[in-house]
Amino acid sequence: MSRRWRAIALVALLLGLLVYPYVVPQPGFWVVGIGLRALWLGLVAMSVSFLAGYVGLVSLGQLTFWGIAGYAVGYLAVLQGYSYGVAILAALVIAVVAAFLVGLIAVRVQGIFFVMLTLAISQVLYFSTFQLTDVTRGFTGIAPIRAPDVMGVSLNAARPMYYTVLFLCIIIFLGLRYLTRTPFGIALQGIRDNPERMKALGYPVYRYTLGAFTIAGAVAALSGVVAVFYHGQIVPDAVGLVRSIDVLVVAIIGGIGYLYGAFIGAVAFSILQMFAQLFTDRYNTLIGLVFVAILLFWPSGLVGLFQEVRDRVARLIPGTAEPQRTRKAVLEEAAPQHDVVQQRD
Amino acid sequence: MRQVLTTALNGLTLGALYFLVTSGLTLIFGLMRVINLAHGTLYLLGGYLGFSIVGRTGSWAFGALGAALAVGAVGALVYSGMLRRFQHEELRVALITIGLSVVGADLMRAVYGSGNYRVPAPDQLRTALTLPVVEVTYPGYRLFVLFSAIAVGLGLWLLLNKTRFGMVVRAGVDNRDMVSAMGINVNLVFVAMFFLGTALAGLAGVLGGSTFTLSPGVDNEFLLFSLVVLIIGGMGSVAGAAIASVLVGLVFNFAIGYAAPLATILVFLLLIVVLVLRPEGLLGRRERMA
Repeated sequence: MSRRWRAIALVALLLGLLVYPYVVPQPGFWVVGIGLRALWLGLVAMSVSFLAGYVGLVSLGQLTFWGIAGYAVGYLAVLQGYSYGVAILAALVIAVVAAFLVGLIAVRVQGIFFVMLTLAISQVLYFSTFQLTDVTRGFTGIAPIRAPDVMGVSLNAARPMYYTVLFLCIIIFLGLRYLTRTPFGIALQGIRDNPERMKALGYPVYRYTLGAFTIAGAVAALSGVVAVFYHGQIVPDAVGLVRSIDVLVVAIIGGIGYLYGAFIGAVAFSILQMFAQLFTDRYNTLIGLVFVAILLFWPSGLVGLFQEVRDRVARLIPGTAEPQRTRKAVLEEAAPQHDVVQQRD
Repeated sequence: MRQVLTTALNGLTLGALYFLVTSGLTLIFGLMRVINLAHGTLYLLGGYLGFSIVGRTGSWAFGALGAALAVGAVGALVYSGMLRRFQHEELRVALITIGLSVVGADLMRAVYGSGNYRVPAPDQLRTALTLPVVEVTYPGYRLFVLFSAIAVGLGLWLLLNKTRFGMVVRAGVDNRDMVSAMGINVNLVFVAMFFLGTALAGLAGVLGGSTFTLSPGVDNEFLLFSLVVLIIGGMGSVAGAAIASVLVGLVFNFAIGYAAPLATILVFLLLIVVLVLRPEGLLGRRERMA
């Protein structure tokens, strides 16, 4: 795609996102059920994708920080009566500190050990929500958590909430994308590809990885704050293993390792889940099977699939073929990665 | 004093169950370097199947045996059909098994609903035994679970250290390619190991299903604790799993007894302490963590 077409496509996408709440029928379903849900789900899945694509760590524990932030908002604003500004800010700080502390341990290990450890951490939060009843209200959870007013506009209404969250998601996405292009981000990719060499080059590998993990935790925490207002409550099941797996499913369906893939995955996942629920009670089976099928056949998800189709089309039209972009291969371990160093053909 | 002893015995029984579940996980990991994150699902499946079989035949032993064989068969099938192709991509295998756990949990909910089940324990064991010397009264069935775990542990030790199969497995742990080059059908050994490892989860499901309830969510609970035990004990080490499961069982039960709100967190703190002091686990090998 040439530069100009890319710009046109981006402007069209942005316009589409802006007029979306006004053109779709049944705003309760399309704006809230699909749109808003895909936005916060994409945000937390993006933190998974960021860690996987740029640090090489697949996390099942992002909902931990999401949940800590959500519970903190609920506890501080609803149970303790603090103002929303204080509650949200404190919740973010608490969740980021938690991410930092967890990271101190978690980033020491890699590969499946990291998956196992983050899974264990997320489950510790889940089981603790039943035990720390003073803070979490146990099984019933904390409700109702109404969205705050911002400059006189209540975010409880679908459209103001949609635009606020959309704006937030765009800012975070651009921020993370920028981060991956800074020297820090490029060093992270070096660490992903060869930590030993980066260590030998004098990079503080542990501190960089910890930093990336904390940043991913902050993104997840932001999503948690949004989601707690979206749901109007926070309950233990929201941080259960099934939900944690959902986040991973979203990242994988979209194309793990691609930041924007998380949002594509979130839209696909929301639509799949919403419509599957209409036809069958076994929608989780369907989603599980889709997930397994993607892992078996297209591990780079919808984005990878799209790129493959595009490359094939480009090869059919003579003269327009551009050098193929190498696909990110997060899951195929043996496959070489060429994001930092350009591949020579 | 009596309460402390009862809590300790409860901890040991729970540890025994954790050991049964984790031993399968650690055996599979030790040989193949893959982690089966549907292991908790297989535990629950074993429990449900055991419940159904005991209900039909009235024999607890049949239930345990049938569930173990059936779950082992499921494991071997999943391995040969889906996981074998990606055996060298451990991350992909882990994620595929997560997907399968979602499907498995949902299908089990379709069949068994969300109610609580309990596999009826064998009549002969439904007695309270008074232990000599300490004079603590304790359910006979729980002691049976404890002894079953010890028997399985000993059996695994004998299998791994005293048989030809065990020799091949141990050689495979050290150098898979070399064993293959020696003319041994490593694939068959892998399938057998997957069968054995998952069958142990099924057996644990029946044993645990007579002690605790079976319901959706139990699968995740046992997955969590088996992962914690696995990491603490050292990946791939059966002896490490034994020590770690006793440790985790005791810590968890004493925490439930004396500091209930912090029970899960305390277990997790144990995990962190071990990870900081010995990142490879109690009896694990160092090179494997990175």
